[in-house]
Amino acid sequence: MISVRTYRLPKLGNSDEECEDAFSSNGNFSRMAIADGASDSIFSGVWASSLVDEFARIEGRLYDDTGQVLSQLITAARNSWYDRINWKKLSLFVKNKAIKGSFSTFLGVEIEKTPEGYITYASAVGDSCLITKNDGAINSVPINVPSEFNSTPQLIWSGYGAPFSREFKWKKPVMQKFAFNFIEGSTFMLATDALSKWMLEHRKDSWETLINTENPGEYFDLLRKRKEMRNDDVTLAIVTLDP
Amino acid sequence: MSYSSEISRNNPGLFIFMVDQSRSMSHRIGGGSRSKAVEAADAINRQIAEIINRCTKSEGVRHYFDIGIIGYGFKRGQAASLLSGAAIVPITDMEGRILRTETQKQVIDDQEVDYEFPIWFEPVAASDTPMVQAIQLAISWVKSWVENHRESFPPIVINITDGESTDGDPLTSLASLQGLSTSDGNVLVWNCHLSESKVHPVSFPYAEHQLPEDRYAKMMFSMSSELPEEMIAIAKEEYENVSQGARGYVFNAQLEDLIKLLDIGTRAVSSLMK
Repeated sequence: MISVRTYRLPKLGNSDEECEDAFSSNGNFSRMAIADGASDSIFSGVWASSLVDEFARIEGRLYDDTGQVLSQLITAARNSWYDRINWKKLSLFVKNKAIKGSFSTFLGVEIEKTPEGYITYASAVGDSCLITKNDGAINSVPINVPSEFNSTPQLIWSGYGAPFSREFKWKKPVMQKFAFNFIEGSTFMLATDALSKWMLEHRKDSWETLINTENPGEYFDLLRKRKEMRNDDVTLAIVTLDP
Repeated sequence: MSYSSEISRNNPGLFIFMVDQSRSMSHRIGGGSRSKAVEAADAINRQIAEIINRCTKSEGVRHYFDIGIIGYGFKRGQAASLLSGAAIVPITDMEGRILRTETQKQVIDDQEVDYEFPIWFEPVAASDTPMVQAIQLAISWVKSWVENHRESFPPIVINITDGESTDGDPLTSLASLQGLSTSDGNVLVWNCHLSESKVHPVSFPYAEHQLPEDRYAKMMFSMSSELPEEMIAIAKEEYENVSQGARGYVFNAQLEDLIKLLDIGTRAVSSLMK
């Protein structure tokens, strides 16, 4: 059995509706994803949540994909993104920006039960991270060094909003893939960039702090107020692979 | 550190565009096919649209900036706001002030996309060049704005002209304008000098010896503020030879350079938007 605790917070000073991070999973948590909508584009939160929702829903493993599953994911997410925007009611400037499309990072996780434990497959575009702890040391993919976080991560594009075509030529994103073997009882975390970076900057105690903090939301607010963590949207999923 | 204030809805920034509308602006720009007035109007319309684009979120345009546009020389000895009935306006009000829109097609990645391009003001080339009066008007606007926005990023004033002031020496007034400040630094004044001579354009020079032979180039150079460090970094992405001490001055800019000049200012400031 897999259990998951999730936390999602907007930037300090922003409302929940302005948060452009997203998390979604299927019912038994064998598929889950986080995504971080880019603030340079608009409706990025809609795009991020379309990506994770469709990932949780689709059949076929993205990790083993030769192109078909990714195409299915992006096409379904694009249709969902387009349908969730009320294009006719957009003001001139919002429409001019929205038609350029939205961008988001993506980290999809597929978990398979084996006789020995669990195999976790991760497919990542951009700087949302999967963080593990082995022998007291934390490691993170696709980024394991704090200085490698920057303002131009790889992103998945929704395609243009106008003219809209359900059959469109999508741009193949740069996707990195990783596989992990876990024994039963193991825990890993999924986190968007600001929190991932903070964890890697505080390798000694960040893992235990997050596991043991009763209210991570309040703790993230404190870190951002103290400027120990960048003031950004934050999403954390703590995943435990129970026996 | 100066020029580092966060741009937010509580502490918006200010852009003032000053555009020369004198008769000589009807002449073709050196090495170009369009008049200086058309180039100037097109560049400012585009740049205002770009600033708005950067302030636009899913729910609408956020008030990260105020905008003012001063035209001078549209009538003899006159300088005035080109936004009817208003001086400085929040960027959120600019949609209601559009004169007309033009549909422009852009082809990106083999896909054609239609944009409704907003026009706020049309090219005018009518009379003399009362630059001093225009600067005095900018001083009066900026004075009251900085009093109410002490913590904001300092105002950026961008003057687009062919250089020949007809109401006196603009240097003293310009120094007064540059002397105004917020807690984050002094007002930045940039000059875009449109010329009819066919000499090669000069962008962001740091010393007079880099200037071309032109009656007004030295004066315009001395009227231009030094670029803050962040803007130098962005200017270097566009122009190889930008050094420390570079001034916000472009000589003989055509639309592409003019847009780059304006864009460097807005990009640097946009990176501070929160």
